[in-house]
Amino acid sequence: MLRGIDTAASGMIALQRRQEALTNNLANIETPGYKKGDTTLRAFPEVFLERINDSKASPTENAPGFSWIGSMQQGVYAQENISSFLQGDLVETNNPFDVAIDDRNIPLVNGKKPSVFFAVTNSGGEIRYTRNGRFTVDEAGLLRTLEGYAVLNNQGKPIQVDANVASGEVSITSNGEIIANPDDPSKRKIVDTIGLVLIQNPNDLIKEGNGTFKLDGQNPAILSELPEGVQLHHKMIENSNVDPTMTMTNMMENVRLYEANQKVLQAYDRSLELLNSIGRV
Amino acid sequence: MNTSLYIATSGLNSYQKKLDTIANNIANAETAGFKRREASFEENLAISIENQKAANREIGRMTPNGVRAGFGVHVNGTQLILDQGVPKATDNPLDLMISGQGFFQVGKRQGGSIEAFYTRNGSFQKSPTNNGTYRLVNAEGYMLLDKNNQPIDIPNDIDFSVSESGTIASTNQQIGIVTFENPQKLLGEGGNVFRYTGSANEVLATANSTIQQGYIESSNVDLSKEVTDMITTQRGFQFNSRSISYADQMLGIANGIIRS
Repeated sequence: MLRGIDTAASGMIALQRRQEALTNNLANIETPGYKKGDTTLRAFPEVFLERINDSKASPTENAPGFSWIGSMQQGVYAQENISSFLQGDLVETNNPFDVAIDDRNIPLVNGKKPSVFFAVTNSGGEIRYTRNGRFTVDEAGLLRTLEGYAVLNNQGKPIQVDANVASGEVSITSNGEIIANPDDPSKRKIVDTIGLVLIQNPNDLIKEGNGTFKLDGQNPAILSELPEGVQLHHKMIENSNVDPTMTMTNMMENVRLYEANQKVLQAYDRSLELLNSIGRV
Repeated sequence: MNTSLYIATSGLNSYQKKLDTIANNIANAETAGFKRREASFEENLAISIENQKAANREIGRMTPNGVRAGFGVHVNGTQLILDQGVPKATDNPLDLMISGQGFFQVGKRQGGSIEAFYTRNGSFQKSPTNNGTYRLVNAEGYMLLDKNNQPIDIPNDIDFSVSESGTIASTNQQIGIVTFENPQKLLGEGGNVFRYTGSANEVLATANSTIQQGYIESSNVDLSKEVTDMITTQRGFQFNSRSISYADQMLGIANGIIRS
């Protein structure tokens, strides 16, 4: 049987996976805190080809009657979707509870760039990490993401903002302190401090949807103070880090590669067709 | 199945909703006391595709096992933006403006009781009662309420004058201004008034804001920002429709494997 027909098909499937990831990036081009995913393709594990019934084989290298021709890979698959934690653009929104993390200047650790996240708890009480700093205050006075996850403070407790603060003037400093009545020295009060988490290797994060990530097997402590090179920006959000030009180019390229694999498949199909016609009278 | 089609469709839906929000903001750019809304996106649930369970065979991986794939985008809310609008002097004594946080309470008679609604639109007219007084009503006929949730009755023979605290001269009535524990629970009711969907004890009287007579508050819509947003949103919509045509092209290619 012709080997390449499955190889070409595996190429089409892998490229389809990649196209889905690119489409998802493009759909989330304006999602605050979204981190683009890059698909890596990997060849199937190598297999060795052998010639059988080969009388000329050297007896020292191979079993008599067999000789190795070499190795080959029989296809490709989408191995992983790596989220890229590059900083997104900061956009001014003027909303009182919008906060953006800027960690561009964080120093490298062992050649890897750590990343800073907000810590939130989901409805099951589990800790999740997010870069989407678009928050709101619910009727119980808790600071929440728009999906309803409670935002944690630097002690790891949900942030409680009382109602007078929520409806009044609020300022959030570059190290995360939420300050009520910032302009009035007599009433000025630090309500709480937003908790941030430093993740040494962001590639360990597992994407969970709704802009959140989870970390299996590790439980990094919430930072008591911000590391060097990190600051928060109030009344701003971090836009997604998807580059539309690059994504469109990749999508175009991807469709053409998909088409090329289809052409290979068709070529095999033609060979098989000829094979079928051998017996024709 | 190629899920690109569905991902891109969710993108089109979300961008359409954002475009609707922007269109409504632009349409109300001249509506007194109007507060703009801002749509915000969030990624749809991601799933993990386990295509190689044996982690030791996945050489050179940078992330935990499995392929995480997102499924597009959704609008997770249109936040009400409560920035102050620019004051517009009208010299009409019946025009009132709140400076600072809070809303006027206006009421509509529903059977025997008065149902309260909330608005920032302080453009009122006189509505005479038959016993020598008049009430202030907005364009939809909702009566302005005092801080005790009662309609304000003003005698015909006095000069209507409101102090900064909302007290009406020569009467003991005070215009009520309220804030909310969670203003995002305000629901547009049409006619530039809101209904509060939370419980009644989340409505708080406030003394921090002042009332300016002879001014109305223009809407807080910034046209140049809205038009810019509209352009980027439209481009986002186009990107997603381009994704759909790529997905369609790929389906066509798959379809063309078998030549007729």
